[in-house]
Amino acid sequence: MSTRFTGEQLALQSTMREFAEKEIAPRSKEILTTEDDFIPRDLFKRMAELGIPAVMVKKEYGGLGLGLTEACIIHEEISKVSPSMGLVAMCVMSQAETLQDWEPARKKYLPGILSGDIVCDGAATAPEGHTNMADWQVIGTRDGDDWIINGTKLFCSMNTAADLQMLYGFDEDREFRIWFIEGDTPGFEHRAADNKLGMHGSGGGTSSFTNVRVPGDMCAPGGIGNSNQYYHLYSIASVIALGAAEGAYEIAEKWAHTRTSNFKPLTNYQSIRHKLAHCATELAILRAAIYESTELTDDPENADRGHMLAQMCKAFVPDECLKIVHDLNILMAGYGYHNVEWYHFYCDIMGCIIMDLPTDYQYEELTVLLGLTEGLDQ
Amino acid sequence: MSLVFTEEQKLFAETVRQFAEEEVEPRVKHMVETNEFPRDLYKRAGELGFWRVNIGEEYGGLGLGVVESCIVMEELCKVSPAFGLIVEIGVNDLMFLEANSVLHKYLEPCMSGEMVHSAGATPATGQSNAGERSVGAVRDGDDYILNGTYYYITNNNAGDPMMCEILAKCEDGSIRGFFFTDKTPGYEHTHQDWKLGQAGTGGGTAILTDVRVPAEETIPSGVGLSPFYFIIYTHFGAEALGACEGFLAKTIEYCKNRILNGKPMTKMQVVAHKLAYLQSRVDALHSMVYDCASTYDYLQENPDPVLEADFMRRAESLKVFSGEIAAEVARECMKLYGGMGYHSPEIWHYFGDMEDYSIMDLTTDIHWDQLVTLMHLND
Repeated sequence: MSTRFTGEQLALQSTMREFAEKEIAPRSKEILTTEDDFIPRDLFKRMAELGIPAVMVKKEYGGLGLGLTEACIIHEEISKVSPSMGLVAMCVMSQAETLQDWEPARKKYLPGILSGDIVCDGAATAPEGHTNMADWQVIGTRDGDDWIINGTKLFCSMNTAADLQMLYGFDEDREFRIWFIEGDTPGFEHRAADNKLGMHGSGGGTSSFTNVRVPGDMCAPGGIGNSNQYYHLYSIASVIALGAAEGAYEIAEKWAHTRTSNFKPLTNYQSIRHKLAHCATELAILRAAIYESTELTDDPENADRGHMLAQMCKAFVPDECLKIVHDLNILMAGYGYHNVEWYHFYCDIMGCIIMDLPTDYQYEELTVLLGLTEGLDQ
Repeated sequence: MSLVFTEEQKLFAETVRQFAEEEVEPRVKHMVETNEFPRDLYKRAGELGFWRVNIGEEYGGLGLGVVESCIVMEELCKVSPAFGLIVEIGVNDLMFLEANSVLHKYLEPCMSGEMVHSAGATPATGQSNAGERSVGAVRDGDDYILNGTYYYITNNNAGDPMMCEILAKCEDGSIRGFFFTDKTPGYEHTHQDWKLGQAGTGGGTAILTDVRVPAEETIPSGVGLSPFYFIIYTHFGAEALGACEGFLAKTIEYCKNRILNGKPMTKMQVVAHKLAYLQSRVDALHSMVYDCASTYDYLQENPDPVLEADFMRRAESLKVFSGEIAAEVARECMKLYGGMGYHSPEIWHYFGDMEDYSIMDLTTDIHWDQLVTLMHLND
């Protein structure tokens, strides 16, 4: 299955699998029912000890300087037992990747982020909608050397636990910027996500800003970081959905072997065997596509092709994973419907579909990448 | 026989719709967030006569047909599939009571909504696993003694007074329906924690230890392909239909009002086409539901074995079709709602609720098997 991986990548995969199975799995119920909508803080710290925030950070800044393939291996294994921890890993990893390119923030916060002492969340979605950036209100205005922030952001992952927030938005000249705002800054308030469908433990509430003052050096131009980071997120969102579906499949396969009907295991029934075979086939093909996209992306000469494939994966993979788990829901029947440790996979995958840009908008962007249109339908 | 509603049926639908929109819908968020049984709404449903619809007039019922009971299911599920499920248990199973004069004592309190009807039929070995089902009811003189564990007891979180219906296997291998109250010695049940959907509808586990039920307070229940089940499948279809219509209508409204780059989402051709695609599925489902319902009602006046066989096969098809259509509509509507839906319980409850239709009663896989039988492919 993993012949394409190098020895180091296989070692990373087995480390992550052990972490997921031994440390996350026994606590999955705790993660799913957390009161403050954040994963247990000690597990967050363990993720840092294992180097997860450092994966995409350059070695000279104390990171591991690894590629997207390694990032996806990590997310796949974690998401097999906890997609919401996969989402937390994605946020931590991508924010560290961006933050390293802004020196004042790097010096002040990166060591704490890499050690797991600082929880850094990201806030982007304006009330007008993520895809609707043209209508986003101005959020930051200059005041001498400082910035004054006013406005609201929705769906801020990890916001309930955040010590630091990276706020994405427009200034009064409609320049896209990133502000680094400490959690206890006056005028900065967090509200926990009301009650989400899935991805429990990953935050996702509302952040509001009332005359929040941010020092001038804690504002970076929107262009910092890897300009292709979006495509990285597409691959990672796809692999979280894939890991979730693989985790669900493992449970369902075990169930089909042990659950009997009329004294025969469910696998004795041809339609059930075929259903499982069909799900396994789809998962293998989806997985191949994702790692094809990451390998291409990690190779500078082929990165453009990798990005296109990453976008295709984000549009296609989570959607297919949801259908796979729907088929498995039927197999698990009442036992699955009544068991949060099963059905969260279905709800979490829905989260991967709507995460960042929903499916229709992914295809809209693909029409541009494919040269089918000059620009987005606006 | 016609698929077009009569004036009376239209008026009836309007009454149910008004109740659903004015009294049920404002309560949906609370149900989704607390998992509490809406006992007062249950009482109101009784006052409006929902459990009287299919019961004969001689027993205090309205003597109406399955078209009318499907109207109840459809309209309630538009706003709350969970409340639709709560009501459906009684709509289906009170018909059992009609057949037994001793059990008539439960009819009026159940029809009025004073007494809640809870029902369970899933032993630990699984609902569809007839072969491995152990004997749960043993004859003892004029009584039966019930022992065993049953999962997924719908409405069991409603409090007193409650009538419990348990379908158990007897020593001769037949399945009987047993009716008693939750105060009967030896009956205990646990509350169900959260489910994927259908919050507020109970679904806990019942443990029966030497529960004594008089033989005359039981009824024989057909297993497998008895005609009674096809009324239930028709009702399931109506529930799925209502949920699809409710969620799709909300999604269309959302897409009309959500502005993307200066235009409503419905101005995006792919969004408009997707909504049209979903509408076509829901319209097909509507035809199937009322085709089955009106065929059943017609058969009551005009017995016809050939048409009855057709009805049974089509109702079986309806169960599998409606489950899969509902799941598809739920997925697509959620995607259109995006983060706004994912973070709003009053929207995402449809997603979890509508996954139930391919699982409830028997799963889609088992229904394919039953359909195979009705198609005489494995005689």
